Amino acid sequence: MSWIKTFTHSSFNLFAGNILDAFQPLDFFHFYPLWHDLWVKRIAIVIKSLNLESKNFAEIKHILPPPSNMRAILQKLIPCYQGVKEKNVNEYKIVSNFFARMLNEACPTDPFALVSNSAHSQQDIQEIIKNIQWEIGDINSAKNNGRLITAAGSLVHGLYNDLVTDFGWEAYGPYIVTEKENILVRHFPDLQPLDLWSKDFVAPIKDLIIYGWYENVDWEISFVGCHTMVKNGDPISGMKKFAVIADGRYLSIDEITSLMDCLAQKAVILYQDIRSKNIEEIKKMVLKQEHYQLKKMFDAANQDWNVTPEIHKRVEKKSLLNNFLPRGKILVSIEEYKVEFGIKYFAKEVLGYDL
Amino acid sequence: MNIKKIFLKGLGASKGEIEGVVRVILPGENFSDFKEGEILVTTLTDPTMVMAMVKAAAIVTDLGGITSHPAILSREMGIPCVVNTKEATKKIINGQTIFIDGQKGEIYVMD
Repeated sequence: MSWIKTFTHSSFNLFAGNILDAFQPLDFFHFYPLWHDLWVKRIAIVIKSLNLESKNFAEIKHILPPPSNMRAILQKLIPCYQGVKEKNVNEYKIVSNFFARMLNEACPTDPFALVSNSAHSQQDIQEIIKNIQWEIGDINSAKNNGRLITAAGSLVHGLYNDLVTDFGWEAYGPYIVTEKENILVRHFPDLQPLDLWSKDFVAPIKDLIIYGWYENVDWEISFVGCHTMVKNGDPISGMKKFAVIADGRYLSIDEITSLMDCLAQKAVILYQDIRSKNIEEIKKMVLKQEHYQLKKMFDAANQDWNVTPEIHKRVEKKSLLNNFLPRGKILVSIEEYKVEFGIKYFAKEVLGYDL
Repeated sequence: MNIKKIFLKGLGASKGEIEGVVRVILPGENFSDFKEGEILVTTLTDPTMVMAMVKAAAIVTDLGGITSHPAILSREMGIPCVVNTKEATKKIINGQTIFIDGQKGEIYVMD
């Protein structure tokens, strides 16, 4: 069975009950096809030059983006294929197969995050259970943690926008501790992307990890792997233990509150700046954000990760496309999704698979 | 509970039931006096509204889906959220007391 079948079921979750107009600051699905074939070509060259097709995830994970990013790369690459100028089948096949295989190896139980984002091994989980300095949780600390996630998440929404939000936000788990207990690990791995934004707009810390230990709360980590859904229970009264670590240091309750305020204020000024940009400036920002997530891979291949003049030229003063993908419509059926989002088309044309 | 009628329906994006006083915020408006426990009603939240979001008892939006900004963050804070009501900012007014069912996506006006 091709990976595209599993991908389809998982990726549908992102759009079931959503509309493209909600993606901000730009409906990227109608923007990416203007230039995406050129970017896929560059990624294929890097994959070939580093011989990545013959390497396993463990060997190269240090140059790859986090799992949610790899899912989001496919989430854009596949639907946008139907609208691109040059349909380079072989390059699309190389790139999509590569990221799908990496996800299969990184998260073997649920590569496309149908219900979980399990990137930690059993040994990792046991170490988290034993070695983390857990604080006892209560309703106030649970609310505070939720507010910290909201502040950090809002900053990430500006730093990376809806384009590659997942570059800065992972929700790992749920990891089962006992029949009634589980753990979630929220990770914000890069709150200081200085290649994208000036120091004024980034956080005072780079790395933030929020561990939550829950009782009688059933979670799903769905969509791409950075967001949670509560299936049963109350995440506030159900949070029994927690720990917050910023740049390797455990934070006290007061420090968590201060950090929440700081990140919220940064999120406000950053997004005000984004909203002051005109459409051409936003297009440039979006291109840079998309390219930045593969910086380490390009650096390893001694290739410049930055946007090329050719790609800039493709989008300059060009309107967003409007001849495909449903606008303002909430999809309810996976069959409709497969057709309208070109998943069936991609599977057949690129992977030679009848979906 | 003295419920008057179902007023609006949208997508239930974060479950929970709550009654509270509405504060409508339109894009670009000043909301520095947003009070803890008010219900935030807006077109679609964005990061500029985060200071109000962390004080809100619930969030209602005109646009969005279950993976949109207000939906994701409401779930993290454990507060009810209804998105994609189409016309919440037009039909709900400041100071009104409403009841929200974040699972069913229903909004009721209270007596």
